[in-house]
Amino acid sequence: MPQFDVTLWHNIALLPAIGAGATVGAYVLALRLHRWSGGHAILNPTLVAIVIVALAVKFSGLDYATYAQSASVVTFALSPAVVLLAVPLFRQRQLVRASARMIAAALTVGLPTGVVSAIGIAWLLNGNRVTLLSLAPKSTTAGIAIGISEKIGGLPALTAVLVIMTGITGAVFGALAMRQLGVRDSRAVGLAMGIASHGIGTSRALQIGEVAGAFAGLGMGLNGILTAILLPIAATFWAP
Amino acid sequence: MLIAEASRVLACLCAGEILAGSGILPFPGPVIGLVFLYGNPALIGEVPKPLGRIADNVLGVLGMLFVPTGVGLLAYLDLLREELVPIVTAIFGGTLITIIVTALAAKSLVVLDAEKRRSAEQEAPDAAV
Repeated sequence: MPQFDVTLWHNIALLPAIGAGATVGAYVLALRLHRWSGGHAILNPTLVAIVIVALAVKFSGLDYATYAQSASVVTFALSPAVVLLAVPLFRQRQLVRASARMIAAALTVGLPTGVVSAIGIAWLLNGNRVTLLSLAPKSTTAGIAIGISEKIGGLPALTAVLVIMTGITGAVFGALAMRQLGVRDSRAVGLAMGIASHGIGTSRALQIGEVAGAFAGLGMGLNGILTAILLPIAATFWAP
Repeated sequence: MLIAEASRVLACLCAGEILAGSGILPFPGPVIGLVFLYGNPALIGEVPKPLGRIADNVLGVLGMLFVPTGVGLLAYLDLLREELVPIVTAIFGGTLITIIVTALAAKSLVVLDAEKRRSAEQEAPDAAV
């Protein structure tokens, strides 16, 4: 029997077939579990798949960098996916045009609340400066948040993780919170999900329906653009 | 044709990334690509069926595309442990506050619009007289 060769295993694991395959496989498992549970919110497929892959990476003796490289094609697919958000938006264009004031109100309130609430809470709990700066763009989608974090002096890779945590929090608890508050309008639900918890919230909103999904995509896109423009300007007023 | 629609999406993305990367537009590349696809002549009137199918399939697994980034948690366990309380509270509290406040702001306009419509309907008969 040939001896187990660690370098060989490491080289094989770098192949996209392993990283992307493991990611897709874990997500299918997570979806099955989600359906089997009757769509329980806490069994969010993104969260469950992350746990499965993280355990697999840990117990296979690999490191995160190896996995990230071999799964990079999955992360890349995020860019064309954002482009494709034009489709639900186009299908709902009449409703979107008729709701311009609602969209403007949601953004005017939601964008600053997202940034200030996170920084404020972390500051009150003695979070350090790098944590605060890394938290600031957390409500925007991963690609945008990383760029902002870099610009304002946060840790981009930490921001990426915080962005995912934000998305999962919104996807798991957002719909429930809004139901409790009696918010039933699909447009309002979608906007709040997209503005507060970006793509993962949008993914959840798409499950609710196409109107919620289209408004979530719109909220995510506009929030991302405006945060990318405004946050670096705001950060210059907050010198160390 | 499915592949033609896929190439249209990628062309929009390419154009967006080039405009963003060269600093011509201060927006993220994929978001510029979204605007190009939205404004694409192919979308005038109806979404072509193959494009609709691609969008529904890809957006149906949007959550999967965040998994590799989320696994990055492993690389930051030490830092997260150090700042666990402020980070977790800020994410959890901040995100819930943002969702609630944003939803209520949007809902208040739904209510406002409904009231306006109702009062307009009530006034209309008087105006006719």
